[in-house]
Formats: sequence, C-alpha cells, structure tokens
Amino acid sequence: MTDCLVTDGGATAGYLRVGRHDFALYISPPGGAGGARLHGCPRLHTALAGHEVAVLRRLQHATSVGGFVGELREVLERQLAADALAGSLTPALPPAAFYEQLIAEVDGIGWASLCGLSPSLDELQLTIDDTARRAHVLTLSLPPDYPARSPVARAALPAPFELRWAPGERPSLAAAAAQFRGALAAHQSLWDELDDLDREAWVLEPKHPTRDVCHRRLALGGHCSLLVTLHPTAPSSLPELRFLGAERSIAPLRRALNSRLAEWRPERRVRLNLQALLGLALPSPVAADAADAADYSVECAICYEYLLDGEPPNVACDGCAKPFHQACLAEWLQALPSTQQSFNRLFGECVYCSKPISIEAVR
Amino acid sequence: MAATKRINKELQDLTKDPPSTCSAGPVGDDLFHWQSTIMGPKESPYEGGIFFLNINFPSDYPFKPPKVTFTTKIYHCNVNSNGSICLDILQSQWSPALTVSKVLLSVCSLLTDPNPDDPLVPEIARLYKQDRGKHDETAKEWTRKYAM
Repeated sequence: MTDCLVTDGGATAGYLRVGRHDFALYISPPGGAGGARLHGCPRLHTALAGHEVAVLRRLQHATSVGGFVGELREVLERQLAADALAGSLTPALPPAAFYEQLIAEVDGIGWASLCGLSPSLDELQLTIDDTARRAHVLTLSLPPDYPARSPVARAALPAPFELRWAPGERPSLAAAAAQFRGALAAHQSLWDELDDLDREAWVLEPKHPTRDVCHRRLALGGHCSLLVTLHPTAPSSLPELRFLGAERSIAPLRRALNSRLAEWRPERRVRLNLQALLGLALPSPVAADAADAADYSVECAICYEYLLDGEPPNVACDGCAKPFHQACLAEWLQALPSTQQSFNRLFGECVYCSKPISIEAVR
Repeated sequence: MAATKRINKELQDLTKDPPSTCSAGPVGDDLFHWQSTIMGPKESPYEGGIFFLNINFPSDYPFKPPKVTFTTKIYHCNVNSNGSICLDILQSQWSPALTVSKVLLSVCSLLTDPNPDDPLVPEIARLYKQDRGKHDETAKEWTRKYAM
C-alpha cells in the first residue's frame, strides 16, 4: 500500500492508490458545517460517476476515516475493473444473419460483378456496365443492421447519387444495382460525347478522367488550349468554353467562335461542333506523342501546379508560351523594381524569355 | 502550399535526370531542407574533392531564392569561412525560372571560374589575380585536407 494520507485537526488529505492510479482527495472534518465531505481530483469524480450519493452516505455513517477509505477503495476497484473491461471490448459485430443475407444476395447478382470487399465485409464494390459497355464501380457501405437500414452508395457520377426506397420496400443489393443502372442511363449521352473527345482529340487534362469529370482541356495547336466543360444534364448543348494560352494566339480563335455561336447544332457531336465553330481541325491524340508535346506544359511555370485555388494557369507569354497563374506571375512581378504598374495592370518581363508581358495586378 | 509541390517536382526531376557532377535531396522528412554534394570540377584546383552544401528553401519559394551554403571548407574567393556563397542568381538575379539543379550547376562553374572582381574574401581574390600558381596550390591543399 502506497497511500499517503494525513489527518490533521479532523480533516484528512492526501493520495489514495488504487491499481495503477493515484487519486487526490480531501475529507473535511465531520464536525464542520454539513458534516464530513469528500473532495477529490477530477479523475476521482469521473471514476465515481453515478455512485456519488452512495459514497457520501457511507462517509456520513462511517465510524472512522480509515474505515471509509477502505470502502472507497473497494468501490474504486470495482469501477476501474468495469471500465477496463468496457474499454477492451470491440464494437459489436453484426449477427450471423447479416453475413448469410450478404452471401445470398451476392449469389443472386453474381460474384463476377463483385470487384472489391473490405476486410470487415461491411463495404463492397460492384462493377456494373452501362448500355455502352462502360464499366462503372458502385461502392456500397452496409450498416450493421442491414437490410433494416439502407446501404450508403458512392460512385463517380456527374450528379449526386443516392439510394431511394419506396415505403415498405426492403433494401437489397440487386435493387441498389438496378437503381445505379437507372442513374447510369441518364448520363449516356454525356459519356458518349466525352469518350468521343478522349478518343479523337488531344486531351491535355485530365490524363485519366473519372466518370464524374465533365471537363476536358483540348490542345488546339500553337500552344493554345481550350477548356471545355459539358453540362451534365444537357451535354449536346453549347458547353462552357475557356481559351488558355497567349492572348495573341487565342484572340482570333475567340473571335471566330463568337461570330459563329449561332451555328452550334445540338444534334451534332460536340467535337464536330467545336471544329466547325473554331474553323480548325482539332489535333488528334497521335499528335500528343509528337516532339512538340513538351511545349504544351499544363502546369504553371512558377508554382508547377495545375490548379491554384481551383483556377488553371490563365496567362501565357506571347514569346515562349509558358503558362502562368495570374496570381503567381503577379506575386513575382510585384516584387521586382523593374516592373511598372498602371492602374490595375502590371508591365514586366516573362520569367523565362524576358519578353514584355502585362497582366492584371489584382483579380 | 505552393512551395511543397514545386520542391517535390524539382526533386522528381533531379531523380529522373540527375546532373553528372552534383546530387541533392532532402535531409530526413523535411522537404525544405536539402543536402547536396558537388564534385570538384576537372581541370580546377578542386578536382577530386567532394563538397557538401546545405540548401534551405524559404516558405515562399520559388518567389525567393533558396539559401545555399557550403558545409565543406573551401578556398575560394567567392565563398567565405561560413560557407556563404557570393553568386548573383542566389541574390538579386534569382528568378522562378531557375531550379536547384541550375543553381548547383552555376556553383560548379563558379568553382571552375571564380569571380575575383566581386569577391567575398578579398585576400583570396588578390592572390588569384596576382599569383595564380600560389592560389591554386593553396586551393589544392585545402581540397586534400577538407574535401577528400
């Protein structure tokens, strides 16, 4: 016993050791107002939670401080043992029926479509083909009380996908897969357009698009590129278009596009529409392997990132065509004594080729 | 953090296509603190020596230059006893178009061609101009003593 309790003038103070824990306590003299009282460290109060009233009663009826401390020790030992047991227990596993149900359901939809399974068997991934034989992955997280509660679905789709059950309908994997197929059907024309761009045009970014990404950055030649963002719900309509590159090269393209906007035909492929409106043939993916591919650096030549606060590099040098984020180039130019500013425009030199370059100071 | 990505990219490029006369990489887990080695250039009094350098990247890299210092003692009119290097691209002529790799190559060529007209150690610069043979002799001796 390594307790260290001192009684002085009726009050007892010190430490009580139980197991590996020390508790600070102070017992006021029984003769004081309200009789004997127990004060302790926060740990003592936590350990005694729910038993305070009983402990206080024992204190008031105790014949000696020593006898009470003995009882307090017993209570603490019991509490600590119970806490340790509770702490070591793992969360409850689902009942066996959960696994039987799971196996039966995967039997039903076919094991071939199961492409991933978490070690605890509460998350599974299904490969599901759409009508154009594009493979999609549906991830289902099963709650422990599945099928009483619906699984949570995750998938790379351009629109949020959530499982919905009619009142009284029992969630099942097959039904979840059917709902997912329904969601896939809604995006077929979008993916047809995007696949066509990936196949026939030189896509600079993204290199490995997932099915939820609706934009493509297409090389146009002459160090220019076009960021095309399709509308997920109306993929054949005029997409959001943004030119990236040296102003000198993109100005004529922008003029051509604006003058022919009315010629956009929704029944025509997006790629063919773009070619018609821009009046040029989009470089094919074969060109991506050519020697000048390195000229199409995608990342900002200062920070080496593609996106900065969600913005792609939106300035390019007229001389060397190196792309920059406006913010990066402005931060650099503003630190140079040779840079001139007029209203909101900075006039300086390209970081790489020293050709004059001017950009907005603040956006 | 913009600097992290940029430093990582430079590290990748250095690993993929390492310069023949120098090497560099982070010390431990700290991406902002690198160590580098430079081989004493052929036909220079530093030939055969291996020189260690510290590279510290500022948090606003590449808008500010990296701090590059020799940790190996070297007898050179543009490097003082603290290892500080007097090189324009590490000060006023820094540009985000430069990289660690380019800086190290510049340090290499500074070893081949010291710049006695902008010295950090004037005595060495004076000797370099007045008695090149004696200068090279001392530089060779220091290289043998500290860099081999």
